[in-house]
Amino acid sequence: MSWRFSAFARVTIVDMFHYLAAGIVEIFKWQDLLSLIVGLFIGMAVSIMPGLGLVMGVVIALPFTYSMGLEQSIILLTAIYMSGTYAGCFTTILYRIPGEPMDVPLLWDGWGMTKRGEAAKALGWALVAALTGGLVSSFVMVGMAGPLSSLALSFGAPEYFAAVFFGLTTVVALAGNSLPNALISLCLGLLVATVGVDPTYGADRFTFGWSMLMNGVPFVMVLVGMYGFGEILAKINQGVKLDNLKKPTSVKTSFPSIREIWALRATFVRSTILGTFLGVIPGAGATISSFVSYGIEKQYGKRGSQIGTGIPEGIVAPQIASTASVAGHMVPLLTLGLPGSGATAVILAAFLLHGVQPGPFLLQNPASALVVYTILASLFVSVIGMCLLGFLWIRIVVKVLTIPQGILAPIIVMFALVGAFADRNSFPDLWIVVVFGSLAWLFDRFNFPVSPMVLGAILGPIAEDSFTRSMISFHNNWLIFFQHPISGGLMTLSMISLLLPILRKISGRLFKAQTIPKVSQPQTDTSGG
Amino acid sequence: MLFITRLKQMGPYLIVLAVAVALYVVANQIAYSQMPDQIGPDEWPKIILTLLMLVCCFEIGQQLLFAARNEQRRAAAPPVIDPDEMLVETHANNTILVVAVIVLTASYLYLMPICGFFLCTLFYLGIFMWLCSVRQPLVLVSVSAVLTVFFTYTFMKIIFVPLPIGVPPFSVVSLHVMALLGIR
Repeated sequence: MSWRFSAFARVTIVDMFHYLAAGIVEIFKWQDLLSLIVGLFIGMAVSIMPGLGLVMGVVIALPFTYSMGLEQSIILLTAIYMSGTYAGCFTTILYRIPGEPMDVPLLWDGWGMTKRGEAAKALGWALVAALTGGLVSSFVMVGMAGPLSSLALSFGAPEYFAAVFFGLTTVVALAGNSLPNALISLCLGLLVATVGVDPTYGADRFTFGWSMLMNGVPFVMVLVGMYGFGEILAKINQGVKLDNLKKPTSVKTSFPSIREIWALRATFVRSTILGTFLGVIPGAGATISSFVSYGIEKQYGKRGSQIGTGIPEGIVAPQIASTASVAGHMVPLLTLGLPGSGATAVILAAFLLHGVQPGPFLLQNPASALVVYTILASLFVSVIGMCLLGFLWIRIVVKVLTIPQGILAPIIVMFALVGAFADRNSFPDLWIVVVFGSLAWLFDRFNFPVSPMVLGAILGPIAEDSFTRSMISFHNNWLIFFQHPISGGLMTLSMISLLLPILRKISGRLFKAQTIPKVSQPQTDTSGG
Repeated sequence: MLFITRLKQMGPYLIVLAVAVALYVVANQIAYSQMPDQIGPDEWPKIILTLLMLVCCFEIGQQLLFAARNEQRRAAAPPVIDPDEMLVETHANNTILVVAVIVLTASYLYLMPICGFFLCTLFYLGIFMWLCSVRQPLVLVSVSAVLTVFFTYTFMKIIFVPLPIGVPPFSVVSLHVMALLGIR
């Protein structure tokens, strides 16, 4: 088998299976396995607790990765991300408390089945869905890693700029209900990224004479501030209470039969495809995938009209899509170096903290290719591991709900602050965390989404660098982004994604009678997962 | 009354617009030696600031021109079910509490180099929990103490983060605690 993906590809199918097999062997080394198991537990705990979330989970874990190897760090964070998309189903189905916005679609049918005394069956469906979505999408994405990386190798500055631009516009289009607010958030993030000494000219930009700003605003501090401290402030502002928690009658899992699963095969296929490919789109995280998949099932499913009354399709569709989106997000990060969500932005931060820039060159070097495939292999093991944990230790895992929010909030803030300090042992960094945390609270109050700003701060330097290089290489020809086929295609897609919210608004007015129960959109973190 | 309501709605955009204009002026003053046929370091920030100003102006204009129509449409819209509202008891606005937490955190950061991580964290956690409605003295003291010891040990002993020990006489406390925890 010497078939190659394309003329310029360096990773053959044989190579892929070789690296994947080696990666699976690597993952069972005790350090990697320990990271994975710890990650799965953390992911489950944070996604169960309303007020926390999987992005906060990866932010909290970030400082612990400083002293770990690159492989273990990324495996830890990826495991948190993966299990974070699954564990919320426990509290959603059993207690009617969605741990994350992505679990809201699970609520209608999950709670419906629980009310009929079928909680164990509902949990079984969620488990099978997570397992299927996670494994299939991981397999598809592993197959796409090589071709994507080869394609990325042919990218010049205009293509890179167009790819980043596409990422940023989709994040804007999908974040929150207001396009202007999302654009403002993005611009503020891009501006934050310009602070410091300019790398080309050595000119001071927006430092105002402060030496602490000379090296720019570290994006890790922006991340920790906005997703860690800021989220806690937003939750304190909402004053969420969980005192009147009703105990469910059963905390068991009962698997559906093969015949029952076969009857839902169309739902499984539809939702897996949707989740995987929506995951690749920057900004369309687990939450969007979950909502879209539920909506599609409602409209096109065999029993669409019964969705919302407590049928398995209403559990399978959103759960498959949210778990499948994880692999969809990981591959663009590993092969292009572009994070499409809050969680992958933190994972990118972990890469950079270890001095590694993810991108197509990672797959060209056998040593780093092995690391990439070990991380990809960890997706498979994470999916199986989280389902096992969910099946065996669900009783223990749901106990975290009993921790009072009043005690939890200071713990999270402490992790955020000490973790931020641990990055560079710098006190000014902590002030940056507090400033951005306070800003995130203001964003929450005035309905500005947080994700565009964070991704803007992270992708800003890449965008500026590729934009400047394009301008220098092509003599300030602004049309160059539209003249190259790949960049032109991506710029067109960007324009479409920016126009989408406007079209959505118009179509919303035209088709006012909605069939899906109307639920308020998650505001800040649609791309968080 | 209507004017105040509109001003409140436009407030964030007016502030962002003012900041953007000020930063544009600053960007105009960025000093560098121009290279022929190359864009300067001020170009990219100016593009972003221009976009930012345009969006703010659009939103302010929309508020001014269509505020009344939007209000009517909002009033006529069907009620939206908030999943959080269905599930848990929520209190809409605790601004004072949030500001208190921000001030507390800022004070904590200000005092940490003076009083040291251990003492500051002990009091910070206690006060934070009290602000978050934890009122039992035993819980406040014990949880603060356990968590402070946990953070000190984990970050200083396991992750080797040089957390501040403060200045005398506070540093004496930090050094004693470190000795007790086996941190050198």
